[in-house]
Amino acid sequence: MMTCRELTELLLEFVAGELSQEQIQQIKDHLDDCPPCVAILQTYRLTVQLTRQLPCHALPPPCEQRLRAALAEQWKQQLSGNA
Amino acid sequence: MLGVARSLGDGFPRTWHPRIVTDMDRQGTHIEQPGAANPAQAGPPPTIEEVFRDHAPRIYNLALRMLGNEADAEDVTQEVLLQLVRKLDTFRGESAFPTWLHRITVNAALAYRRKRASREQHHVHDPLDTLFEEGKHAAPVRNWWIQPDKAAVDKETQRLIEQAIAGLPEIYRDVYVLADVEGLANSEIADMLGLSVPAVKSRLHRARLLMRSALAPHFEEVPA
Repeated sequence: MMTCRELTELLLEFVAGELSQEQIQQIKDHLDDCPPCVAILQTYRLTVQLTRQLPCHALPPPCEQRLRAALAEQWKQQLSGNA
Repeated sequence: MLGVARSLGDGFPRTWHPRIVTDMDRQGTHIEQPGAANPAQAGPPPTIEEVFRDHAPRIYNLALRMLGNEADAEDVTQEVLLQLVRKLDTFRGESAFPTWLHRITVNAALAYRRKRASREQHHVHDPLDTLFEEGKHAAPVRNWWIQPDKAAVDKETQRLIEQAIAGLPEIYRDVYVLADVEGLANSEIADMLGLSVPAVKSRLHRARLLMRSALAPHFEEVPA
């Protein structure tokens, strides 16, 4: 019988669908009798699901202003260097 | 005069010129060839404004999540944007752009971290050793959840996730950000960080376990 640690070590491959049928069955058998491992699996999946929804935040305005100025300066130098 | 100047104000790029590869190669990592690019069908390079609008937030977000500091993220973003501007004449599209952008941002962030000598020197504990004793759960496992009507992550949840990411040890954080925030494949991450794919998977797995534990206290327990 697979231990809780052994099951947890296989979670990444399990959620990615990379395990053999035999390994999947061993995990399912363990989960049938182990609520803590079910909890780890569910929250492991949820963690990934929530993280994947993180948005791309807008630049803070002062940062945007400084970056634009730096880009403009670089562009000016490039133009004068190539003139 | 470079082609870039002539092309300012033109449309958005549709392909990506292979010439950019030589600059990436100096990092000593494998470079994907932009196979879909076809110079014969190439569009014009982007304008400065397009570069800024389309890429600055993505670069900044990645750098911020890797470095955990706004000032450092701004420095890295500036460095990457300046690299982009210097190479504007080589821009012909977007086929390989995400990979290239990720690579130069990751390289810049790692170089910045090295320069600051901020890499954590202390031993990073394996979360699996904390979770288990003799193969069994060392403590009760909290089964938390988020209500389905909150499936679209609200601002507070975003803050909690960002905070948990910032709390990850660097060796786990880099892989986690690239895999679960940026959505890169393990093989791409391995190339970027100079790791084997099994090492990426091992770090990603441990990062997820740490994230899971960090988020647990902030969410409701699954109703019995």
